[in-house]
Amino acid sequence: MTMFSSSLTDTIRLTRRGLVLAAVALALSPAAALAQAARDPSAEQFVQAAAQKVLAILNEPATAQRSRTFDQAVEELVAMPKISNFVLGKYGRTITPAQRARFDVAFRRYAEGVYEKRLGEYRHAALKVVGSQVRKPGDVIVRTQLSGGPPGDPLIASWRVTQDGGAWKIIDLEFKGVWLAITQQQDFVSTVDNAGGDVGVLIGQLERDASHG
Amino acid sequence: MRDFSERDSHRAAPPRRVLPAVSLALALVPATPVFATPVADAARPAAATATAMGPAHGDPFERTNRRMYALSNAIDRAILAPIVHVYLRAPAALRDRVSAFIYNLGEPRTAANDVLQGRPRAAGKTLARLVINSTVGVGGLFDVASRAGLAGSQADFGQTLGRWGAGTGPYLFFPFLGPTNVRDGLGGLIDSVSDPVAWATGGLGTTFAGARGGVTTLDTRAQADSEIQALDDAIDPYATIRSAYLQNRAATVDQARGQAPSLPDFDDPAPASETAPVAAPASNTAAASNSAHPE
Repeated sequence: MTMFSSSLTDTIRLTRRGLVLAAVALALSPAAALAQAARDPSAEQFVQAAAQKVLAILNEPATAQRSRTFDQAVEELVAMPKISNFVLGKYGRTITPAQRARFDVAFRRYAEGVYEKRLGEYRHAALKVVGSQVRKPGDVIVRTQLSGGPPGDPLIASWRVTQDGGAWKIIDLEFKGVWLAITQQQDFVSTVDNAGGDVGVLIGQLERDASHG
Repeated sequence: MRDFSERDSHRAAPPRRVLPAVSLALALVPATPVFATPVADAARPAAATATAMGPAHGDPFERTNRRMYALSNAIDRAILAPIVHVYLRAPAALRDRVSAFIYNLGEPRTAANDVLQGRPRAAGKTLARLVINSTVGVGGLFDVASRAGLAGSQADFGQTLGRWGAGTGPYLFFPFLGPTNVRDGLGGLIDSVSDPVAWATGGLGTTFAGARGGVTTLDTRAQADSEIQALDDAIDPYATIRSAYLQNRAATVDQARGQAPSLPDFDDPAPASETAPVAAPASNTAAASNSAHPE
């Protein structure tokens, strides 16, 4: 009886050891599986520098000056005209030039506020590029790991960057499978759909949001 | 009249895990067309995931869903949010132990789904995490496996169904349960009734199961709190949650299939997500009356 239970204990111990060894072996392999697509070092360098710049700005005390510096960084690093067109979805084709001009201004202010708030949560985080994937030349997804931000596991954030006339620009940002600009497009299109196709309602709401933000 | 999309500061959590007790409610939903669009993802892999969640797309019950969303907000505001905001004052170190413990209880279910998805390596990794964290990690209170390079990965039966080609079916919104769809709601139900930990501890009717359900709700809602507050920035929070939820689920399935996310082209004048016809404007929705609630 004693012998039986001691051999059972040994078996469990061995099984555990086997599992731990298997775990260690597995731990070394997943990175290889993710790296099957081509990487783009210049896009990775751009994201590392851009994200670090933005997080450094957000580490300053929140003042009007910081907001201005942040907005300048957005201007420099983000492909705002592309995003502004994208988030309108199908209404990008029907909007009047006058509405478009108003929308671009309102969206820029709105988006700057959203970026400042969302990225501000990670201002203390350390950012490290962990990989990239070329979708097509000039359209790259760069994966980064943010650690030391809000509690929880290190967060993986993906930055979609595009090369516009030589310079890289950010066009979208993903956390947990959710892309910011795609979500905004669906938010905005739903808003306009439910306003009977009147883009003016969306513009009015963005203007009010920006002025309250 | 108060509008459904009124911009409250606390909204229903998009739960990352289906709550065991609550998902039983799904069984009571009448006339839900199960697998209304089977194998849809597999049949059109390029467009069916991240980009195919436009308005009127996959949400045929939008009007009812918006009512449920409003109800869910009211419940959250009255009951859940106040509890969560007290809980969030507890030290992060304590809350992290709760999160780790709940997560660890989900590992057997994750491993089972890893196997069902034909990913034995992922299953091995999950089981190794379970063994390490349950022992060295003091019953799952500490995620020491992550620190040893074994990061956690969740798997659920909705994802398994997606892995094998099932489409999401219509989008649904339930009070307590939050956003879901036919595939993932059914998946959550099956995960609950087949959960190895629940079986090992006497089923879903035990005090342990009840406590686990309650703590899981609290933990999930607390972890989602900053995302829920970020919904203040949304113009149509309902559409925003729907988009975020469906993208998150599509990414989960993409991950199980080992494929890259299918993303729209920013230069494309007509994104694929919007080829679906526009919904008839609903009188009780979003933007029109949203403007009556400035912040």
